[in-house]
Amino acid sequence: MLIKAFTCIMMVSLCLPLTLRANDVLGLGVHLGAHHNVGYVNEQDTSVLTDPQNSMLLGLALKVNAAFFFIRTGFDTTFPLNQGEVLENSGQVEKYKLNYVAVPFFLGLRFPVKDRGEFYMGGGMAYFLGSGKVTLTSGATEDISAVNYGYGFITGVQFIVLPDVRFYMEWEYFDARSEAVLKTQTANAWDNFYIDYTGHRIILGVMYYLL
Amino acid sequence: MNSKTLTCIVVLVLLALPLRGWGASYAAGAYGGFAPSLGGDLHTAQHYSEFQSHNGIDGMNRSMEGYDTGRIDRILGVTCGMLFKTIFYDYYQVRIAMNYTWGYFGGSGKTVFDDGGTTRLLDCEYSFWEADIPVTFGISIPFWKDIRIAFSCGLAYAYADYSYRFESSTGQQWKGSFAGWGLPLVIILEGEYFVTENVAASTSLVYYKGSTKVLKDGSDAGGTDFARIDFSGYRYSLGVTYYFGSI
Repeated sequence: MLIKAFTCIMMVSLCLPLTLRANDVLGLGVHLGAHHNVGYVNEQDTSVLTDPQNSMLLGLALKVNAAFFFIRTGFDTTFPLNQGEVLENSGQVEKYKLNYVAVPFFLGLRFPVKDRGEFYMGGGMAYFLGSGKVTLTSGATEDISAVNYGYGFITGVQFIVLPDVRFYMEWEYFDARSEAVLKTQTANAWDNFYIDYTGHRIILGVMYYLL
Repeated sequence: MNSKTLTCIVVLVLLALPLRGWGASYAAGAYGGFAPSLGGDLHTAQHYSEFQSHNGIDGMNRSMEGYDTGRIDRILGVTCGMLFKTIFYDYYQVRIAMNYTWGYFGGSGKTVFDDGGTTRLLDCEYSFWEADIPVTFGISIPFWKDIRIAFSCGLAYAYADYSYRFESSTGQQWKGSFAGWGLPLVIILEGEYFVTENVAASTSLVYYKGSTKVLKDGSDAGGTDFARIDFSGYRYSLGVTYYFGSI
C-alpha cells in the first residue's frame, strides 16, 4: 500500500507540466526514513541490555525558501521494523513497541549550488504524539501514550533530478522525552518509564517545487 | 589547565597568524543559537544514593497518583559566541572561538522520592552555565563566490558550573555545586552564504564530546556529593561573519 502511494505521488509529480517552472520557493516532498534505538530504553536503566527497536519513517515535507533562509516543516509517522527487547533486565520491561507522529519545524540557512541542488542546515523543534505497548515480565501488556515536544536540528542536501523535482537526503536529530507514564520497577511506587524520542533520523525523499 | 594543554592552544593560535604572506584571509564573526540537553543527564552520586535515580535528571522524571508532580525536562541552553578564523591555501582553516552557554529552559519541576520508607514530594531545580574556547582545524570549501562550507575538528578548553537544589515537602534541602574544566573533542560543520563580498550569513552545527574529571560538591547542604560535568552534546547557531579582504 505504501509503495503504491509513493509510486502514485511520484508519477503525478513527474507528469505535471514542465512548463510550470518553479522558482525554488515552495516545495512539497514525500520521504522514507529510519530511526534506530527508538525509546532509548537502555538509557532509562543503564543496567539493562536491549535489542533496540528500529522504526521506519514515512512523512511529508514542506519547505519554504526565501533568499538564503528556509523553513522546513511537515510530519512523520513511524512503523516499527522490530519491537525492542530487553535481554538482561533488572526491571520489569520485557518487550516494547513505540510509535509516534512528529511535527517538526526548522529554520535555517540554505546554500544553493548552481545547477546541482542545495545544502541546508537548520535548528528547531518538534511536537511528538507518542504511543506504544510495553510487555512486562509478568506477562501483562500496558498501553502508554504521551504528547510532548523536543529540540533539534536538520542537515540536508537536495539534488536536481528534473527542473522542479529534487531528490533529498536529510539527517535529523531531536532531543525529547515525555513525562513518566508507566511503573516498570518494583522497588518504588511511582511511574518511572517515559517515552524517549531522542535520536537520529536519516531521511530520503523526493520534493516537487510548486512555486 | 596544565602546561601541555596551554602550549597546544598557543601553538595552534600562533599557526594562524603568520600566514598573510601565503595568501591567507582572515575572518571574524558572532553568532547565537541553542544547545539541547545542556550538561547531559546531570547525574551525581546523590541522585542514586538519596533519590533512587540511576540516570540523573531523567530518573527524577517521575509521576505518582495522588501527588502533584510535574515533568522535569533536561536543560535547553542558549549559546552565543565570537569566532576568529584564518583560511589559507584557499581550502584550509584554523578557527578559534569563545562561547558562553547557559540554561534557559527546563531543569525544574516536582517529583517524588522515597524518604526512609515514606514517599514525599520533592522540588527540583537545576542550573548550568559553561564557557569554552574551541580551537579547530579543517577544510573550508568555496563554491563559486557566494558559498563556503567548512568541516573542522579539534579540542575546546571548557569550564562549567553546575548546581542543583532539592527541597522536600518537609522542608529538608539538598544542594550540590560543581565547577571544573575539561578538554572535550569538538567537531564543527559550518556553512556561509556571502551577502556581500565580505559579509556572510553563517550557520553551524557543533558536536562536543567530553567531560570533567569527577568533582566534589562545593556546597554545604545535604551531604557531600560527587559528579562529572558532561560537555557532550550538539549546538546549532546562526550568525554573521566578516572577511577582512575578499575570499
